[in-house]
Amino acid sequence: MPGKWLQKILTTVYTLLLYGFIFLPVVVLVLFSFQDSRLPIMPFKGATLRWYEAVLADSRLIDSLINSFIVAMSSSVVAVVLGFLAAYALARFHLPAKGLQRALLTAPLTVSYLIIALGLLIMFNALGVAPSLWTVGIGHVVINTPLCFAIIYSQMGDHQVNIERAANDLGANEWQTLLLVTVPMMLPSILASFFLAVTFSWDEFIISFLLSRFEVTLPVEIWSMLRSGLNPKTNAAGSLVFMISIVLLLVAELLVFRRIKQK
Amino acid sequence: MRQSANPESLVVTITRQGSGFKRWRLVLPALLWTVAFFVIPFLFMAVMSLWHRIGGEIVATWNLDNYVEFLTKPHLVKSLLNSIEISFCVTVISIVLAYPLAWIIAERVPARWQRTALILAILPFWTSYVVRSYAWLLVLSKQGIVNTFLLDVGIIAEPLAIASTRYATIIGFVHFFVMLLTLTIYANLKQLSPNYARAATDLGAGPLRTFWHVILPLTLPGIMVGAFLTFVLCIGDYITPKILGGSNELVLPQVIMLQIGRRADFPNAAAMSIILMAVVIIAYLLCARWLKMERT
Amino acid sequence: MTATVEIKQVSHRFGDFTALNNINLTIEAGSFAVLLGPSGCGKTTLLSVLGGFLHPTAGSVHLGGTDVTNVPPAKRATTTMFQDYALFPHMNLQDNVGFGLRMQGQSKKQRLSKSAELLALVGLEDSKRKKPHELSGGQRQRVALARALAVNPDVLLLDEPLGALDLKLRRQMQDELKAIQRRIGTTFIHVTHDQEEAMAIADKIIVMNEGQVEDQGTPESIYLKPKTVFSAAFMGEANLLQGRIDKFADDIITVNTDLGQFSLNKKCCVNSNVNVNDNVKICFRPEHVLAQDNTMDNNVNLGNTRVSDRAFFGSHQRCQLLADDGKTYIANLPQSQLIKNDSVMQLRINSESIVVLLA
Repeated sequence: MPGKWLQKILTTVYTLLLYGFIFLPVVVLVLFSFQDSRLPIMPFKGATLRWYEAVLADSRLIDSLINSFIVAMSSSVVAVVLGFLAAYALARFHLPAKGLQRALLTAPLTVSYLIIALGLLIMFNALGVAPSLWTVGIGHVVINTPLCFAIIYSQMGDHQVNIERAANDLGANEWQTLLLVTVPMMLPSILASFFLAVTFSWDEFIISFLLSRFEVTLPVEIWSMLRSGLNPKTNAAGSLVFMISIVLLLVAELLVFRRIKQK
Repeated sequence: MRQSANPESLVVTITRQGSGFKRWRLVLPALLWTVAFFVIPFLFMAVMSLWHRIGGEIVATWNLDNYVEFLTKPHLVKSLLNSIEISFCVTVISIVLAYPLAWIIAERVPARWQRTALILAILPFWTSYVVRSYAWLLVLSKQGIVNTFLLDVGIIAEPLAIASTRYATIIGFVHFFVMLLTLTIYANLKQLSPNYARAATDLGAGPLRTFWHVILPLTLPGIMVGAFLTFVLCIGDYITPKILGGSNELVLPQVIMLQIGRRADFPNAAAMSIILMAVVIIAYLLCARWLKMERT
Repeated sequence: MTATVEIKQVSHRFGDFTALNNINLTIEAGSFAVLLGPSGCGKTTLLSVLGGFLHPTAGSVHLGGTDVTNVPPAKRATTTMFQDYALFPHMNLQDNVGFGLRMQGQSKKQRLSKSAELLALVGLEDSKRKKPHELSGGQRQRVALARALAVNPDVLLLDEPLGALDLKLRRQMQDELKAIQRRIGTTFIHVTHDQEEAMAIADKIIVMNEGQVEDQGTPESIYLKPKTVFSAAFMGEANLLQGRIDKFADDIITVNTDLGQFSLNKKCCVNSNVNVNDNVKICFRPEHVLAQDNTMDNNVNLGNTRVSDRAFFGSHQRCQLLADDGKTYIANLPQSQLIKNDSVMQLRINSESIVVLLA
């Protein structure tokens, strides 16, 4: 019995310590975003919303937020479409060199973003393509397509083949089957991969940093804010981004994971 | 048994009715995208690594000088070693910290609270990646919360210099990967049938021996995947070491960024990137070999 | 809507494996046909050929006299009811049932009324807004049936539709399937490996083995007059006794066996080309063994046997009889007969019911 109590105490203490470690930086970040002083350090000098006002008044920051949103949404749509079609074809059709195709499609997952970014930068430089949000989007599609492909491909089961055959048997052509049966049937994994892709693109730094010039994404803008050192305004910006992400997460939870649970 | 081979064959025959292109067209966009924006850029980079930047001009010299230069300059080799050391430490520490937490959530937290516990454990994951490192700077800097606390309590007399050292980098990384690995290991543990543990207990193994001989080996392949992922993401990261580690001890991605930024020395940066990639491939081969041995 | 199905010289190969070997079959319009055989016999492959999912290596398929071998599933007047039902998981029942009509371009109103009608036919009119995952196995099976029938197919193909159901539900669904088939008159072709199911529902049974048709006919003719040893053994229990034709005389044939020589009416030979000296199997069903007190003249006596085991089965008792040739024969005897283990008993069989098959 004492052993059991000891175990309980140990697991509780461990859990609290680790949750403390995990939450420490977030709590400090959010807390000092309300700091009524020019430095986000101890002691805490009372609450103010002026740093949030400063953030919302910062048009560069707001622009970069909109840029990030546009790049994340559009690159994720492209990545999901490319990944889904490839997963569908490789799961359903007998194609030559399937293993090689799968390896090629998932290869970018194992390469550091820095290397992908540098390769694209060198190529675009050589071809005379100017850095822009377009090139950032291209880079994000490169890193997210393998992710979407892998997630959707892993959910393409053989039991779905008969469902598609049934649709075909009842008179649906290839595209009707794809749009009316396969896509709705795969919707949970399609949405899951889409939200993951949005998260990754939203948060991505190095590709955005190297492949953009005048118009930048949010992580790059925050990065340039960091140059000014510790500043409660950066805290406020970071806290705001955190809250936006949490809202996005809640939307994903309600839209996607509830569906998956339902199954 | 023969019947079971049929479904696959059915699919084959259906598709045989289409022409060659009809079968290819769906996979083609993704393949073309990957070739155009991943394979070809890589080839550009590989070629670039054989050239040289001489007097502000990039010249096609076609030799391995960049690689030789890298391996003969101690401070460059040191940055590679820093990268490997830090990534290795982060991987080990993260697994050691995350495994018990994942186990507690999977085995000790009541089933209906597990999802909440898990979401809480990975919630800070959704702070922006740049912001997360910055937040750690608030915690670890000389006037940061840790030093203030320790000074106030009187444990230390002088503020600890954690920020701008490799320890800060490691802490920042570990924070991120503990969350990631808790998620992976939890998923692994939940996949195991509880009957494994029951069978082991039934056959007389205590909790520790059950864990060591049954649970751990069964979750090992999943852990190795997580470990590999951690190592790869760590070793290629620029932001965390840049913000937290500062410029006292450079890691390889920082050196690469210096080549690009300050000097526009793309040939050198390309060669270093390929060396970085080689390290990742070696890590992969080590993991793969080790995994195979475990399975037999 | 209904149509005759003709299969002409159909063969199919998967690589080196011959799944179908020169199949010739005619299934009358409006009949309920069952393809029966063990797993791997080619019955599912044949069904896929009929449905258009497989293009046969050789031969042709005709529906109502038209060659449809090159017609894809979508354009064929057949629909398939899949073994795993293959319901669309994201659609409710009325959308599932109405899918085929939607593909035909029918209006929403038409679709709704037709799917309501069909859901009523299978007794699920109250569940039309449910999703497939809310249903039991038997209910899913009914929805699959309704969906397949909604497009008014000439031929409905059923791929082991009752395989996943428990025994009691399966018997119930067999009756329902048969009743629905009678009502709508569509040709049903049903695949199963369960001979009781086949007998329960079929107008015509086609016994398949190793890619070939072994036997076909009504359930009675296949059970009572099987044409091959395989067919006899697969359609329920059969005792087989090795023998050789000794002579032919008028309508009487004489057979030598390990259990003695006896004569049978020539009608017992289902194969017309039996000759003297041919090796044959004498086949008789356990229920054709005569009870001790049966004084019927027309019988074949195979000598004394020892009762090695008996078990009470309710409607009959099942005995294992050890004969002089060292083999055990099964007899289903009336429950009233007093039988003890190790007692001696004459093995007598109603000679009318014996079938002589080429070995």
